[in-house]
Amino acid sequence: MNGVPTKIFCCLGVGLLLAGCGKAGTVTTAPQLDFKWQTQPNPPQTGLVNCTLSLLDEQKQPVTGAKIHLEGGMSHPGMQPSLTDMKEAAPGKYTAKLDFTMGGDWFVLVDATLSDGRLWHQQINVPGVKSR
Amino acid sequence: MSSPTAPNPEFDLLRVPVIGRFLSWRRARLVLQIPLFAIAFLMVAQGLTGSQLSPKNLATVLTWVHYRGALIVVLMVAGNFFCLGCPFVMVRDVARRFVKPKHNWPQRLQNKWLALGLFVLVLFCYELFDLWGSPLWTAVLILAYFVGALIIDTRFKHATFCKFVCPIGQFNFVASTLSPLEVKVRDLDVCSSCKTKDCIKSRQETTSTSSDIVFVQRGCELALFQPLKVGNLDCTFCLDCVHACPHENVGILARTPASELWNDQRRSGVGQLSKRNDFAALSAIFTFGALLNAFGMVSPVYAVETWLSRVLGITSETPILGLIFVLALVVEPMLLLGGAALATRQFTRTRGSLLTITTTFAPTLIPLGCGMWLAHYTFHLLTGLWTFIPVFQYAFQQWGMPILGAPNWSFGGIPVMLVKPLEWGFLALGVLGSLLVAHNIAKREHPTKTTVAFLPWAILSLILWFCALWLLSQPMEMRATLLSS
Repeated sequence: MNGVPTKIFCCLGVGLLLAGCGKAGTVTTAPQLDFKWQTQPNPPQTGLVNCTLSLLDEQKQPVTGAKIHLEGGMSHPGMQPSLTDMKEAAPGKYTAKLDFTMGGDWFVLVDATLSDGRLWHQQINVPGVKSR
Repeated sequence: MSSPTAPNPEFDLLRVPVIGRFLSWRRARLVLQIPLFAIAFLMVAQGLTGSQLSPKNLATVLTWVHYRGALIVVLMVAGNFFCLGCPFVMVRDVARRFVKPKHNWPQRLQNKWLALGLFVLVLFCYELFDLWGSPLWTAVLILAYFVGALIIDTRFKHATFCKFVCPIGQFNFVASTLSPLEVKVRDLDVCSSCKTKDCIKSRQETTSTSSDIVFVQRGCELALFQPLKVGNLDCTFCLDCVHACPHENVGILARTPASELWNDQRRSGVGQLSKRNDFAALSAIFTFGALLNAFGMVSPVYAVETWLSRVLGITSETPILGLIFVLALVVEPMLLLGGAALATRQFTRTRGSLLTITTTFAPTLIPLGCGMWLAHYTFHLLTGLWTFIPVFQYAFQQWGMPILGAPNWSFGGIPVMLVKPLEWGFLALGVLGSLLVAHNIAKREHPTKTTVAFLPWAILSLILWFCALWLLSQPMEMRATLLSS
């Protein structure tokens, strides 16, 4: 019986190591877009903040017809993220109201599906959101 | 003389169906340690290799939201069960099958000072390196605990790491003084007739085939002799004494939370609280550390940092944070506790040194400290209660095994407006507890001048309570860099 914990421990370690050996995902080429991110007010304060994202493609033309999802999260774990979709206010210019629920450092993850089906992801850091 | 099986009016967790049977089983600890070890393994793996976005990583989410919160809640509603299930100890137990420790921990280190220093160091690193925002450094911290336990306990005998080194252990020991459950002798008469003292010496048997003596069950590794044990201090709830006792005379009994704080009886493995300066310092750091840890998460800390930076002409965060730590954990406690001790000496017209009076009354701080830790950590636990679900989904997806489905990031927790009243309630319970402890210590030390001896410590408790209320009323602002504008 003395060896039981040792065996369990070793099996668990090996099992977890093997479990980490998964199949790699498919790699696709991401589009190279120029972007401009703006918030109003700037710097942002807690509450609903107007966010504007301007996108230009490789030929410096506005990216139109994209479906863009925003996920705002805090640098501290355990905070419910703010989720919203952007609307195209003008060609290549997308807007949304994002709820910064607490003061501190935020990041915004932008997930865009372009009109040709290509995916574009970007992380935008929004440090120092002020408490009201 | 009653037998261990006689009806006992006290609640005994080991006599509760299912739970009691499970905890009485010798492998119960291992069964609790294995899942915690597996979770720790996943946390370290993802902390080192996964997304470095803190809310999307198991290392940071489970450590700073769920583990901390669950730890303090379990301590307050039951006992030190997280030390029971500690995975660090499981690893060192496995290692001890191959490497037998030969040394005793040096006599001069057999106190809480080293662990206290490490506790402060962890709090300092938490703020300086924004551990809550760094999966990598959180994983490194977890690994450091494993490595520390392994190195120390394969070199030194007994539970040296738990008793004299582990910062989490010291936090648990102090907080468990408020736990409603205690590992305790059921009937002292049984102990007085006991000849073997297995609960401390370990149970040994002679094999049937030879005269060799084999250890069947170790006794208390923390030097707590059950008949003389008082309270939960230094008790890891490992239940070795429960398994070692040949009379089944050790249970997990109900008791009045915090009552051990005004009990100055000499206790096995600990001594007298009123003579333990290290324990008094631990109580102070535990409580002032709770306030400081919460202060690091609210808006005014940035104003203070910026002001200090401007006045001192320093732009580096380390010395400014260091100064704040010295002010909050050394200067402020010395002034407040020293002031209360001085007032007690003046009012009671006694001649004790200020250090002696401070050490005697230091346990007064603990309930309020517990209230503050509980308020702070349950805030994160409850407001982020379900955030572990998408993080697990995301982790398995990253490892190429999306067995839990695509991460659903809309999981959150209980709304802040519902959690806030709980925070006020925990603080109210904390200050009431501190007042109760202060009164009972004053009554014990100054039976004829109880009120005047109690007054300074009551005022101190109320001052700290107001500070805690003020902190909780401030807007939270969690930044990675304190000096950012």
